[in-house]
Amino acid sequence: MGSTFMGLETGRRALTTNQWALQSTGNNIANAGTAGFSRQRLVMATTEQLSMAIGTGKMGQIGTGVRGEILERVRDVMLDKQYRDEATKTAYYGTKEAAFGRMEDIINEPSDTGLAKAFDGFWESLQTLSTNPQDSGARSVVRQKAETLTQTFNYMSKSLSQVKEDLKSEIDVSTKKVNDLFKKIHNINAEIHTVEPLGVLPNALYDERDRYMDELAQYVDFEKVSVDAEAITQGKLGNATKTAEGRIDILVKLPNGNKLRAVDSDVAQAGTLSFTTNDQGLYTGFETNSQTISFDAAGGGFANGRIAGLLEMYGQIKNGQPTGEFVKMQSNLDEMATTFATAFNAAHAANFKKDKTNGTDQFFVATSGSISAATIAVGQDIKGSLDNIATSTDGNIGDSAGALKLAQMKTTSLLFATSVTTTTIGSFYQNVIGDMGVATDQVGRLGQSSAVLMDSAEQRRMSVSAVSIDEEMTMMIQYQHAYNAAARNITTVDEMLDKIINGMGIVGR
Amino acid sequence: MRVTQTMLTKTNIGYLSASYQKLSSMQEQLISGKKIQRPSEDPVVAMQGIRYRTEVREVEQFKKNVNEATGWMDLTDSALNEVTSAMSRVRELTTQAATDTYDATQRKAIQSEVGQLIEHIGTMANTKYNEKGIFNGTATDKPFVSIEGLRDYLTSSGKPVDSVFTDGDPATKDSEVIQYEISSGIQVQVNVSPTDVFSPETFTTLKKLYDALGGVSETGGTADSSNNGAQLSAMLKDLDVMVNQTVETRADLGARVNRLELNASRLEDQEIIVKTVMSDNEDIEAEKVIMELKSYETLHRAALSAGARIIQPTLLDFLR
Repeated sequence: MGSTFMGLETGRRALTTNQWALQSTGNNIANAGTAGFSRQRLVMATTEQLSMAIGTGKMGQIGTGVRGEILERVRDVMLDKQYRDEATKTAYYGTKEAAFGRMEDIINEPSDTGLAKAFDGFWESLQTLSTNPQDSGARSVVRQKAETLTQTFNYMSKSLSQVKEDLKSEIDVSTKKVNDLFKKIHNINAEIHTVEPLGVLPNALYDERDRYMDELAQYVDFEKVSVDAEAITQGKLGNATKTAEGRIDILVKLPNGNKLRAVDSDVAQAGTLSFTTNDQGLYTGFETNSQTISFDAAGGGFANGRIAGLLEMYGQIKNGQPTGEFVKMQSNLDEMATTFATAFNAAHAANFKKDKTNGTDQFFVATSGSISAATIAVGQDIKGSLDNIATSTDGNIGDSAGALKLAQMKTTSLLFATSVTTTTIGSFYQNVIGDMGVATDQVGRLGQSSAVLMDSAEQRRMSVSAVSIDEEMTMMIQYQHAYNAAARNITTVDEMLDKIINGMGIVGR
Repeated sequence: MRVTQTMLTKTNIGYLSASYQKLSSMQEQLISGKKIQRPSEDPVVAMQGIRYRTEVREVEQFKKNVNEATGWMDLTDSALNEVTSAMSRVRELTTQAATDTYDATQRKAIQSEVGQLIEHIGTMANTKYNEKGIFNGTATDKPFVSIEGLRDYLTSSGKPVDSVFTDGDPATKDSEVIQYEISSGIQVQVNVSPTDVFSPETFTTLKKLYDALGGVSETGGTADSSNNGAQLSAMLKDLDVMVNQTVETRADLGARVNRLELNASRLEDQEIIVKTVMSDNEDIEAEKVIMELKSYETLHRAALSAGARIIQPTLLDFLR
């Protein structure tokens, strides 16, 4: 026979437990819109059973009520991994696409304001000059169009450099952000480590750490390693529950499969990421936790993520060569400017001016150093006098063959030394535009497909962890009714006791 | 699968933003009239677009060059026409003067008219098109014939025929060819060889005639100008050669003008073709885009109304 007051205690336990369950439901509803929040569940379990004589010579185990076993968050770690893998790729392609977009804006083709138009305009002016070689108006137009051409080159090169500067500062900001996240994760690890041995699950801290890792996934590709998992399962870590997640180390992944331990729980400080650059400002490598990795080494650099995207757009040294989309575009423009200017200058120098002397080989010059897209300009001689535009092959002013030869520079195949191709300036440029278009299109497409995968991973993750108001309402009703019923049970026990204490043995009174 | 409110919201936002993206691309296409705004939207269209634009501009420029060449050649033709009529008039006058009924005074009068005609022929040799001398080889900034020199040559004796020309012996001028590019890689000579018409021989012949009319014998001695009809008649042959040469030059020029005209009409055709190809390549088909816009609009409305219906109700609405 159990104690007289046993029913009261059972009721009290039910009241308390359901109250906690209601509290947890309330917390879920309150956080329905909180980013990264995982719904929490109070797992209930029965309290110990008492073996009793439940009838003459019959034994039975009688329940003594309910208790809250554990308050855990509902989360699938595998889905986190899937989401982060795709988030890293999406950020990588997204970053590249955005930077390519800015490049396309600058190049601005096909349009009526781009470099192709400037070349056409220059060619037209030379053709007109060839029909009117002695007309100073036609000469003036040639000079104007040459200015337009050089200024278009200058503008593009300068704008590309500006975007490059922006990319550089984006890399700086991203690096700061990553270092900040490393530090935050490191700090949360420490906090978690102080709480877990007490047998508590710090759900909010887990959520927060996962949120930081989600954010980190945007910047770098990493792997997380649970360092305490073994200790917990082997019971070495105090009274930590078996579902505790322990501390987590962050290993930044490199293309060759190597990993850099950026957050190391055994070290007092979180690692910091920093980059090394060469004298041209191109990135040569990086270091974290005193481990240095050169981009030049096989598999150096980052595999995925925002930082890798930014580096690949801005420019880095790989295999001893500068690579990077902006570096490539600038060197293409430089090659166009140099090749065209050199060929044009040579043709111009072979022509005769009005005074029967050879034309200058400085039709196009560099404002400083050698001719490039950034430095190309119209020479002082040409700026000084229109008569210095040499259009004749026999020295007579009416001879248009020289002007035609200059015009034909646009349609003549020239040797592009760096690219080792012989083609016309127009088709070289078309190829540059085509390559840029294809590359942009490609990162756009890959970005879209990884975004779809990311979304679906996120949907699945939400399907597991997100709060459903309807569900919470239903649970609320359930707990409320359980609470009411428990209260009712206590009342009933109370009435029973009342009967025993106050109503018994007073028969007939 | 367990579906929560946040998932519905997220899905809805995702579809709405995709839908807006599509609508904005339609809007861009309709407003600009172009299929693409950036190379990445269709790299092939972009690359070809650049080439077609260049081709259109080339054709337009070549048309301008053809116009210039036509202007030059037309003027050359009309100048040669005048030269021919002047020469014919000279021949006519010579025939007239060769009649022995003409006396010295009458022949003197004819001589002065012939002198004017010769000077006119000299002026024609200095014809300018757009400030460019058309008969002076590539030295277009200078006159071909010095009118002063021509006068001196006619009136005084013993001057060399080269003194007629500004630059002396004009033989080298024939090789000074002026060519215009009238189609990619195709050039046409616009000027004529000046000595085909205004050769030193022409002026020598004219001088001889002029002198004969003024009473100079074939051997250079003085002759009775009222009695040299036969001498004048003999000169008609030389004059015929002169006229024929001019006519031949005009015929040759005419053939070149024909070629120019053929080229011009080919350029017209080419312009239409290139512009059509360019338009096919990069311009939108408005009706197609509008139809697409309509269908996306329907989808967009559906997404909006579905969102409005699905997201609102929760169990809360039905609990009392």
